[in-house]
Amino acid sequence: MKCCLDMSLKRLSTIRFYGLLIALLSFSGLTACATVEPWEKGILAKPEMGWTLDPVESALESHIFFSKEGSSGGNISGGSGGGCGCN
Amino acid sequence: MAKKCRQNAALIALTTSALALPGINVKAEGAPDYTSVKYRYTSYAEDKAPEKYTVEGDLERYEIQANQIQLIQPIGERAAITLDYLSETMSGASPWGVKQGADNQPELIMSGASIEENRQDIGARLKIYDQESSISFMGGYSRENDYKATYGGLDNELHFNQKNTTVKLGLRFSLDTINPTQQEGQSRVSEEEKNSASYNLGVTQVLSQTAIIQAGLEYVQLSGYLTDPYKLQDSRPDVRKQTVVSFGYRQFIKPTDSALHLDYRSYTDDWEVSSHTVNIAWYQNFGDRHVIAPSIRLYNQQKAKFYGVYYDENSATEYFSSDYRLSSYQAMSYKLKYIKYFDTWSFTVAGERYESAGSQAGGSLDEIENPGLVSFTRWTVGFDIKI
Amino acid sequence: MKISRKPIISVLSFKAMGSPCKLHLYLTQKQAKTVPQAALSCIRALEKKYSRYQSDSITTTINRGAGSGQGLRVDSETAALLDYAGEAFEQSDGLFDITSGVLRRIWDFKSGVLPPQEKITQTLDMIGWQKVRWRKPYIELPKGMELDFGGYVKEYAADTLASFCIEKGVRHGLVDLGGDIRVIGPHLNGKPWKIGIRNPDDPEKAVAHIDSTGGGVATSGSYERCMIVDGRRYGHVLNPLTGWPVRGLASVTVQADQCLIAGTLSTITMLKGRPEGSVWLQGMGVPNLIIEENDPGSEA
Repeated sequence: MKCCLDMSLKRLSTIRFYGLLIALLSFSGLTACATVEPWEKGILAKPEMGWTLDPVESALESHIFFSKEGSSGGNISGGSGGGCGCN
Repeated sequence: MAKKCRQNAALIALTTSALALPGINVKAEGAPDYTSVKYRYTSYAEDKAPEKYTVEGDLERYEIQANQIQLIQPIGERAAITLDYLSETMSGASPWGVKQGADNQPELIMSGASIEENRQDIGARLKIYDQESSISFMGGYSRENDYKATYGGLDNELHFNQKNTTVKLGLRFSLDTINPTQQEGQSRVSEEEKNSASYNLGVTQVLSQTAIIQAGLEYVQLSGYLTDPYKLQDSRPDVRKQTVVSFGYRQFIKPTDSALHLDYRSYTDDWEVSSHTVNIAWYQNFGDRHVIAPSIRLYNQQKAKFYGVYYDENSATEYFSSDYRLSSYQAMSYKLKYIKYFDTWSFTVAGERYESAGSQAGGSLDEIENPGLVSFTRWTVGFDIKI
Repeated sequence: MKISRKPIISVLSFKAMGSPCKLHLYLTQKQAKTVPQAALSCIRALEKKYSRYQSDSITTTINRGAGSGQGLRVDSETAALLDYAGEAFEQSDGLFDITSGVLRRIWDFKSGVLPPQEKITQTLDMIGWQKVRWRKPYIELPKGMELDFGGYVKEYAADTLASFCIEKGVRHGLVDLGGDIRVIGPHLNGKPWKIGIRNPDDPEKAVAHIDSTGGGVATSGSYERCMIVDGRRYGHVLNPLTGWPVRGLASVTVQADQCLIAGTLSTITMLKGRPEGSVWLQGMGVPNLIIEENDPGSEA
């Protein structure tokens, strides 16, 4: 079975992303006073608002993608161990 | 009575001192205060190789059964150690290469049915929490019959602006040794080494009481024997420099009691492989006890500069690979996860279907779909226990 | 699943640490069964731990060991409170002093009689945080000295109670321990709590209101207890350096992230008096309301 999908993801230059990253950094600086107070973080503390809800499953999932795809990385929230993934 | 931003040194000193008090420094944001054990069982099965294009070897592709255990143990009030253990059993055939058939049709050469192989991976992480920062040290070892990896790393998190902004810095390394299984009729290297070093920087910003965003930048350098020893006519450069830019966004939606996850990753390397990955997930709560989370992942990759669907002796170059991983293709996966929370434990089950297909837009030789492209189904079940 | 999950306001009144207290909490039906009782146990535990009057409290144990020449090992919470007292002592140039409680022995505000100066001078010898041997986690008091956590433990308790409720999932509510206030979060509809500030001349009436959706509010005032001798007013806030009641300010209200910080800032401002206190507090950059004593003659 073949999957027919057309991902209209445009190829964006890396430079543009660095730009965005810098923009985000400076954005954080600008909003230094517009803070969410510690007692207002009830929702943000919910497990489903975390970067990974299930780090153990995610670690294996990342390892599978690492083994089966041509690119990897970007998983800031955790490492996914070692291994070849050659086959 | 507008709140001023710049605070007096005396106030900072008093606040710092006050935050050391247990009643003021709410634990929830810091170190875990209970022991937890997590167990996951995963069954992974790849679809059969296409009968039509396969000329040699076994059609039954890879299957993996994996058991994972994680233990998180607080040490004192400000530190926690995490131990991870993984044992996976792998069996099945894998693509060896692609050759040119009649009418330029690619023909897939699969390996024979393999015996069961086992990989074990043990890792540990020590995380130390301070008021406005945390530091983690990690290390581990992975072993399978033909591959050994020793890895380690360091993470540093710095919180600013009442923990509304977090900067993360991370370093990773891995020292790997490859000892390919020798087989009659195949000439393979006997022992080779491969190393990697990774540097990452991430910034997390709380946007509101219900939204948070993250941006990350990662640079990875791989060096050593990067060729796949099992593939025919595979020869790759001995250095690979990878750059990854990623974004994550989480939004809670109060009226429906759900959380939206958006993740994007852009990958480029000096082999000219590039990819875009988008992951969209929806975590739907049903009361306090049930979560159902459907998600979709889209992946789009551009091939490596030395990739060819099959080897052509007439235009041989220094580097070559017909590994489907280095081809241009797209993949889509759908996943459904369910979690049931009990008072001191939770149960989870997840299923994922992954399908990939070549990019056929151009119709040139480069655009021929690699018959080795993989599709798989994965099931994971497990539980978490708080002690 | 049909049980309403919408929190409903519940008010719990009780007496703790010598003051009337109130917890205003928006609780779900499930929370309402456990949270108020658990919160009450939480405050009782703190009260018992730091009370001057209970023979087995940590305060009594430390004070009993004064002059014994032996350090007493304290738990981490007490250690953090002692560290905080040390920091406040330093930041206030010695005015915030948890050893100043002994002055209460000689100042009897019901008697209407001033203590003789020589008695005050003698008592001052037994005051001074710098004389305390505090080598974390060991504390040792010189003979005759006493510690009293009463000057800030109620504020700390308000913060602790709020943290406790937040941990239990409460997101909307207010903790009021005898006027030391910590807001957990706004009313369920998002509106801020209206906190009244007492009129020092008529403590039953509010002189102003503060709106708060989170954080602490604390007030120090000399109006709670005082005596008039020869036409001059002597309030109960005593300067640990002179041994005499402070003058100049009738009440100081401070709003800060924590009730403890608000309380410490208002106490220090009160002790610094007029005009130093007012100037010092303005430098902190926190919202505040200072009411000066209306009798200019009382300024020494």
